[in-house]
Amino acid sequence: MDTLVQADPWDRTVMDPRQKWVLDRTLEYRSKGPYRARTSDEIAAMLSRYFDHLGYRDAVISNVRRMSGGASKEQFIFNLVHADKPEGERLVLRMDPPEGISQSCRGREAQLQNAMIGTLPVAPIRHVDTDAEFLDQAGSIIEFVHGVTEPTTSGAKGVSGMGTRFGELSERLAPQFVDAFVKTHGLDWSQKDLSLFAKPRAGTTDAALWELNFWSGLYWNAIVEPLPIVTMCERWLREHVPVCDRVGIVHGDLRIGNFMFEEPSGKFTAVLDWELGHLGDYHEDIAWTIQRLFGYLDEDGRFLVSGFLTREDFLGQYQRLSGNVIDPAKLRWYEILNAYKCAVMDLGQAMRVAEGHTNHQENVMTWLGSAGAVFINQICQMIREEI
Amino acid sequence: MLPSLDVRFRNLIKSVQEVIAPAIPDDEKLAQEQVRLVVGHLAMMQEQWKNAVRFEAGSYRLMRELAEGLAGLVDEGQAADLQASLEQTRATVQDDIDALNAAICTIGAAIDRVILGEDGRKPLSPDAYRLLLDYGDKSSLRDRVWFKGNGIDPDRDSLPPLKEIL
Repeated sequence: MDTLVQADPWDRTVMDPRQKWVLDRTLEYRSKGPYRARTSDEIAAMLSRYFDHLGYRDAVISNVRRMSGGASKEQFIFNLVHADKPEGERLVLRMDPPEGISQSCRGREAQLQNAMIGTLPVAPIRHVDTDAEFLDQAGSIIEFVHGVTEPTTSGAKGVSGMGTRFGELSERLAPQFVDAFVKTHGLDWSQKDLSLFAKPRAGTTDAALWELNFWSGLYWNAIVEPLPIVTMCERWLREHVPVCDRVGIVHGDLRIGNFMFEEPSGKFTAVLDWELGHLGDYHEDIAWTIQRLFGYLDEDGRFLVSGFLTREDFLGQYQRLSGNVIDPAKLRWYEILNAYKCAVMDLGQAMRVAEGHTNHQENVMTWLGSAGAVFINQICQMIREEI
Repeated sequence: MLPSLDVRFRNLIKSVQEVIAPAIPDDEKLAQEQVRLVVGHLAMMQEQWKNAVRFEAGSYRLMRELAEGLAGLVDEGQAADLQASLEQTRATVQDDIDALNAAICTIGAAIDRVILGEDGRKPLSPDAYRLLLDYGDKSSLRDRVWFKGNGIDPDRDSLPPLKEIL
């Protein structure tokens, strides 16, 4: 049997080519200077041009409204009436600002969402303009999905769903929450159109190293003020890159706030935000969702993952239902990688965006930046346990 | 100072909460979210402004101590790099927040170079790791206390008061 050649963990060029494209495009957008949020009229005019180009006859756009939430995209809900659908329909424009807390590719997101149709509830993608050929920024047109990401009675007004409490709905949401991980990681992706994704080799460090190189590339391109712990963390990660035994779909942000459900049934209507999705190691998703920030302590002082299950229950149920074994050493590496990613987003990219005014909501950037030390603290705690 | 910064912060918050927020239509969710963030930032800044220079000076001291400590744990060339950054920033004026931040960046850049060790070609010893982690514990505690008002830190209730970390 051939021995797989492992990449040099310090080779920063080893990366999914499309992710390199994302990094390059980020610098290109940044060089254009401050961004001004588009008005509803401007969005309506832009959408009219787009639907004309797509061949819709007599397309009329109306009732354009900005949607709240999210730290990386501009989203608008609008009505579209055209000759083949005179009764009209509600659609969503999901568009890149020049820069956000993370950077991604709308085409990859669309491919992943389409790949998940029939496996998980996802919002159908109608059209995607990956390279901003027709829209002002890269974007996609998505069918509107009814539901909420937090109970309407919760009163939660945190950023990106953090701090939400689900109360009695927890019992109905928790099984669907675990199921979303099981189905995402269990999907046979080999026959899906994932042409915008490079495939890391099973049995190598490709999956881990590609991710690390993307995020460290984003950080070094964004750095505003040196952060020794972020740099130390990168070094530790490079010195301990794990092998991925089984390559599958990784959502990248599967957690509280990215599930839409109906009230009062609690039935999931959509799993949202596939923008950080890629082919990689399932440990990455598991390690992401068990972070302290995406859960809370119950009245007995037990930490609940996304507010649903204890860590032990979540890991146990996931392993039983998926058949995937959680390797504690790999889980720890991805926990540290994920804390690193959060620090890069909050203290690197968000700070660069806030300084350069290249987003439509810099107040969110600095708000998230003010939370960056939480991840620095977590990095220190975890690496101290490993040395 | 008339009008004082405290009064102006309080009045800014009052006007946003009592005049601007109610004028935003119910379906303008992004505008509503921005208003909440503006109030949140103003409230934090109101708590922070009197100590901002002292806080930055503390960050500078911690970074300086880290560089001094690391200099004894790395090779000669790396130690010289750290010493040069320390020398360059030795005369930093302690009540000038911009000068303090510039000094932090100068020393921090030298520390980053040492940590990366020419992309792994130079080792980073366990003692150096431990020194960095000690620094990280102290600096992240200070920053978490400083930004406790954002309400995001899951352990915010166990954080010490601001006066203890300045």
